[in-house]
Amino acid sequence: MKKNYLLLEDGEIIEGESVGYDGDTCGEVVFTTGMTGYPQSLTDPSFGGQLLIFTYPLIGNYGVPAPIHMDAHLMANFESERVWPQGVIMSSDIETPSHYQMAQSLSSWLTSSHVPAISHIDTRALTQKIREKGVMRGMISRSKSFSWDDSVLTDLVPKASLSETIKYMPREYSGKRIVLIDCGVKHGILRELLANGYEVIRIPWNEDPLIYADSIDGVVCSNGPGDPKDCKVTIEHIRQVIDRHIPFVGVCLGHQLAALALGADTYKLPYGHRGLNQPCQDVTTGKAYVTSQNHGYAVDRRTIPHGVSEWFINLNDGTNEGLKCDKQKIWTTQFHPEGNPGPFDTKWVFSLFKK
Amino acid sequence: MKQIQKVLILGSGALKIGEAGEFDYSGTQAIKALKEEGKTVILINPNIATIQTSEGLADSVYFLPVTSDFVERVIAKEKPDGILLSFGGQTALNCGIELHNSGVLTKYHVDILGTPIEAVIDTEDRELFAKRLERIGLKTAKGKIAKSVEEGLAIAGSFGYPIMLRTGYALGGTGSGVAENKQILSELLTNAFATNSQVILEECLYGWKEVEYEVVRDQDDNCITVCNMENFDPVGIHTGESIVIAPSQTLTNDEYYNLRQIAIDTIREFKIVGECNIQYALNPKNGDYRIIEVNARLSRSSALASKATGYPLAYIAAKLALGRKLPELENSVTKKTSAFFEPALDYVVVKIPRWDLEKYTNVDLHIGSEMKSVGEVMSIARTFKEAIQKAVRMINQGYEGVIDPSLMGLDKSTIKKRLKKPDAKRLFIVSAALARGISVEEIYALTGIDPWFLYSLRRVVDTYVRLVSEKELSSDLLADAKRQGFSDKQIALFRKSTEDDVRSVRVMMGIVPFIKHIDTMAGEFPAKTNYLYMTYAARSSDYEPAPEDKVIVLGGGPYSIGTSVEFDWCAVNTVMTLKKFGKKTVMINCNPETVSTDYDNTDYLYFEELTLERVMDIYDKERSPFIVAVGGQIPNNLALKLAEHKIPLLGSDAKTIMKAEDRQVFSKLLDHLGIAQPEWSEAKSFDQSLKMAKKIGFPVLIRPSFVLSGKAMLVIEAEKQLEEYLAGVDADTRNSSLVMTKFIEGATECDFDGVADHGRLIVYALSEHVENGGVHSGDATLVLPPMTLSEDMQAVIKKDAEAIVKELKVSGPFNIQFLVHKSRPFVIECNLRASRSIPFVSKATGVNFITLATRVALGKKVKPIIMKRMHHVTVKVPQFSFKRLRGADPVLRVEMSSTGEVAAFGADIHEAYLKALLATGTRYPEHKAVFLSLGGSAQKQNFLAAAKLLRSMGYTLYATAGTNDFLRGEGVSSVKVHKLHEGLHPHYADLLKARKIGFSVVLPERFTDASRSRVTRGFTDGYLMRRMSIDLAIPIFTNAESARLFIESMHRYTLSDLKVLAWNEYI
Ligand SMILES: Nc1ncnc2c1ncn2[C@@H]1O[C@H](COP(=O)(O)OP(=O)(O)O)[C@@H](O)[C@H]1O
Ligand SMILES: Nc1ncnc2c1ncn2[C@@H]1O[C@H](COP(=O)(O)OP(=O)(O)O)[C@@H](O)[C@H]1O
Ligand SMILES: [Mg+2]
Ligand SMILES: [Mg+2]
Repeated sequence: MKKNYLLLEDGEIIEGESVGYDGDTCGEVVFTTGMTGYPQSLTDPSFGGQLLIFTYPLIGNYGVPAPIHMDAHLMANFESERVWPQGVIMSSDIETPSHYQMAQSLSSWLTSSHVPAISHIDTRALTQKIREKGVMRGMISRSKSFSWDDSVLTDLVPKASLSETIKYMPREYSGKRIVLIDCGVKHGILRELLANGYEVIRIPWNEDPLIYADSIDGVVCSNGPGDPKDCKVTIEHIRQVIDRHIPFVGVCLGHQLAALALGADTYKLPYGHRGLNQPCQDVTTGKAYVTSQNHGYAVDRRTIPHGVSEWFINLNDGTNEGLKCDKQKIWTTQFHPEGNPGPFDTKWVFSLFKK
Repeated sequence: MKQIQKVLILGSGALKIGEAGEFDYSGTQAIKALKEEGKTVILINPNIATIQTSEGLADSVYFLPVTSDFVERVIAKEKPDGILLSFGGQTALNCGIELHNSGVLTKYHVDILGTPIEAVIDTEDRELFAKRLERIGLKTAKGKIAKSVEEGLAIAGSFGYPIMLRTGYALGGTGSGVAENKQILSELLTNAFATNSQVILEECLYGWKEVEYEVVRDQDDNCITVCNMENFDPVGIHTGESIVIAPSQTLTNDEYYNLRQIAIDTIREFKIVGECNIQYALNPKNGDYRIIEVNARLSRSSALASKATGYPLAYIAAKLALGRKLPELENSVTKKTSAFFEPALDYVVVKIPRWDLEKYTNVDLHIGSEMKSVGEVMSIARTFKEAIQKAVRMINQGYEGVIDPSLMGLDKSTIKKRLKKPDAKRLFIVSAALARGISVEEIYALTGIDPWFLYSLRRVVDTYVRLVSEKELSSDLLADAKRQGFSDKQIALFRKSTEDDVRSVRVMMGIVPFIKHIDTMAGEFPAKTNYLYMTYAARSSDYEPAPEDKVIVLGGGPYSIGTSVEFDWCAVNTVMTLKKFGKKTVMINCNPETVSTDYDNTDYLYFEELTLERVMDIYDKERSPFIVAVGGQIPNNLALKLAEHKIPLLGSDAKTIMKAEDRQVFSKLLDHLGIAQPEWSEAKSFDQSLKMAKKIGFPVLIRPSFVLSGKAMLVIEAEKQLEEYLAGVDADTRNSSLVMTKFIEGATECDFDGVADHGRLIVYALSEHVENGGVHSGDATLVLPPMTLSEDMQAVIKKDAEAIVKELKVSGPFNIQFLVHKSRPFVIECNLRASRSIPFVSKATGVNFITLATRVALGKKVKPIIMKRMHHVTVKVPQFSFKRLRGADPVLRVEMSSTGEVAAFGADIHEAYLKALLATGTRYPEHKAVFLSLGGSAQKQNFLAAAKLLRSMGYTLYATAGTNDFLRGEGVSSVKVHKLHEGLHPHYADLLKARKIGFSVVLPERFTDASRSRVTRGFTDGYLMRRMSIDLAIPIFTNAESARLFIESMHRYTLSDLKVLAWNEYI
């Protein structure tokens, strides 16, 4: 095995073994505690610009399946068409995977995706460091000299968003048509909207959804990477959608953008919520759900304006996990109702347009 | 729901195969949860060795059978508001269903708390279960009900073979099995219908992956899955017989979360409140699934899941049963986050079962869909390879890792045969196959074990080859080996070096294990508790031990024949006393079933190996003294090695332990003290043994220094038998030593349990055995206070014991076994550790021996205790699992075969014995008819009085020829029954199958029969009669003294005469 190093912004240098693409890379170092679903996580556009630590110690157990295309730029068994993290940090890379759907090993997939990775890292010690000191910049490199590249963290949503508009027809049409603002949408959300029978018009992050205002039954704003405050155009479009009383659902980044559009504020969490076991409680019913999450920013619940109420809170740290206003048909969730990876206890959120 | 103030909990009774220590853990947690909620707790559990029946937990404890008749009488007396049925295994559940169906619960207004009884009934009845799941679109194995053998065979005709036979209301797969053909099926059907009214014949899912989920639901329908587990062995091998890995390793996101959703849909369909286990078959070829079964109660799997994740399932389930909601409960590890979450693991857990099959005669050694394992271990590490190699060492059967050098020479065809038809050594056969170059694909085809596990094991085999062949033990190779879980001892074996040398080289190279926390959140939130494990796949420790006033207690390791929950009682009570003296407590243990491995129990818990290497690793960090006298055999064996390595021990010092352990030294000590011991000598070779045996005089008890087919001890009655035995031993063990002891026939055996302080006796209890010497003390019925030993004899025994402990300068608990023969006590054994009867004598007398032993260990001043005269009698009765071990001969011998124990209190020996015996599942005879085959003339003679007593009680005596002639000769009328080989009817099989027999008494021909059948493997008539009684669930006595006591007790007490009193009404 070839040696390489994980270099952290605070100067720490950790030796590990090279996996995947043989090259250097840098990004914001974050961790996810999901125990399965690495193919879904690695193709989640929200990980753009980041070095992803898997806390689960054995990664690559069932290899990577052959890609199955469901429709134009829509995968059936991945969350997008490419690997989005800048690099991967793990304890053990499994070179001898086993599963009937397996087409290649994780390492060969990362190599062909030009994504460097490092193994034999004590990911628990690293996670505890990130927990105490907050997310920080890092680099996977064959040399020990740290060199940061700012472009890695700029224009994250534009890079993640599709630049063309695409229409998708569901197998059983429910008569509803939805505009999806694509800020780096996880294909799981698209698949869930189609499963609900909606015709979906997928538009780039900066296009105005109101073009379709008189022929649609709702607007969905997707997840996406980076700071919500960078998406000024999208925030403005969402404000107009809300003012026009068009039903709106926001997921993850979409939830944060809608909050900003409504006048609330967002802030950066010390180390985010990234995992498949985050507990959320619907404050209106008291019912609790296990949710899949991947976000570094959150809505400041103290700034939620009049007219819209807190819908979900995180049972571990009390942070805001969703807003709603039934009258104006605004529903937003910080977590991912579609799962993929993770549980889908809350996938009913996507059927609210039919109520 | 009405206001619940007083709650009745049903325990699981004695430990048995398929229902073991996990229910002491779940019951203890439930009591803790209920007391926190301010409830009054009434516990019924006859298992006196458990922690849940200790003082200070439940408000009152009833040592009574967990059967509907006794439980009803306790309900009538205590008038509880609610009852918890799901914390005492299948025993408690079945009893609860009976109480419900008979209307007792409604009659006394007792609410079933938690899961509604309908849900329990529907999950237990395989037909209802399949129907309800089909209705909500979930898949179970296609199957059909059969109510008779003929019906079963007809269904199999249409389904085709192989076919799976399953029984409802059973646990541990009793009566279930896979039948390859008609002949096997009819055998399985007959056996199953002996104890079941219905069976199900199902499509055979052999070879699919077996996956389990633990699911929790509260009253408001909030649901979580706390843990999923993947079996290393495929469907077809019982989950209790399988190596199990948590979390699953080879399930994709869709497989994991679809099965999770189905588990939640299922728990919601049955409206289970609390916890349940759901078992799946998952097709490795296409992801199709079947739900195999749901256990709507705490189980072996939920205990494993609780320890694997740090999520206290039983504690939470008890709170939910009281109506609490999941979101409002706290995560008891982080003490900050919510209990409504799904633990994220950043480590791998491996469970391996522990079998003791070779301890039985004639038992089938293969593993399959029925449980036969007696215990289990759990290991934690950050690679699968390290975890499975650690677990192998933990089962404490001499294996140092997955590589068993003794199997490396096996030829390929034998290996392939044993891969296809697995036995308890399956894991080591797989490693041998890999080492012999058999491909992963072929091994997968033969075993159904997923290639992921096989590839990992092949990496271990590759490293084994490097360790054996590479000239230099480089630091890279040693680091790889340690990260893959190789022990210093095995590396030393491969490198022809010593364990100490490998250790010093390793430490010098800086290759050391690190300590990590179990925090349920994969590092996302800090843990407030100290639930620890050690691993090499790391670079730093979560916890650096600070110098504190600490004591380290070694636990008992996996339960096995001879080591059970009684040693966990001793370890936990040691910890409780240490805490009272302000000590910080550290526990090392690796048994997931126990209370001692509940991280709440001690300040620090190392869920780790009880091996010299790992205990020293922990000592290097903790630097605190050890208590080794309370965990039974494993810590006892470690004591001397720890002393050699200068590790401080509290209690008796190394020199004292050495003196008691060394046979020659101890024997001389007894001679010096003028204390009698059976004549013995050690033959250095087989040829010498004949001469010595004649000198000592037959019968002779021999203890070979090697183990022959699992047996270490045998009683030989005549020279010819000794020659037969020696002939049966292969050449290379021919000149190893044999200890020969005069076997004293018909002696009264007794156990002297005590605590001494620097040689001064502080407290003692003398328990007399009902069965004469020759039945191992662990299989004997113990009576306290002694019944037949005179006051003078008891005084002589006490004097001898005092002299021995004084001479040895014993500090701490000890046990001396005596045989009293012709009114003279002979010492046969002395152990300087807590014995298995310590919880029994402590609870019978109300004096906690372990509290005193711990004070002594801490050097505290302890005054001798003057025992108050006991106004009651307490009797301990062993629990056997012969029904579960098809083919095993239920006769008792010098080696232990019981898996558990119960005890009861009474005004006299008869009342106490009857209650205790009924608590082992023996039913009070409904039919006044008994089947007798009394063996040798001496045995016939001393059973005569009992036979007459039976006649006076209106019993019809059915007897085999010899016994019948004897009885008629003595004027006792009996009906002759033929033996099978006589070919005449009625023979005993007709009689037993007709089910009109209350109980059988089948005594071995000669008391040494059991030993001889070990050697000659013959199926004697006695064996066939005993085995048939077991298979037909007819109570059987194979020992004259206990049979006699049973008959006397039945003569004195009917069921309703037996008093229902709580423990605190006796003490
Ligand atoms: N249809 C089947 N085909 C093959 N093996 C089966 C089938 N159903 C169950 N088994 C095996 O039998 C074992 C015991 O069955 P189970 O229903 O779990 O009984 P128990 O109540 O004893 O746990 C299971 O662990 C599984 O390995
Ligand atoms: N000399 C003897 N004569 C008769 N019975 C004996 C003799 N020695 C041992 N036994 C019987 O064998 C049983 C086990 O022997 P023991 O020395 O206690 O071995 P263990 O170490 O297994 O406890 C005893 O409980 C006793 O019933
Ligand atoms: Mg089962
Ligand atoms: Mg003994």
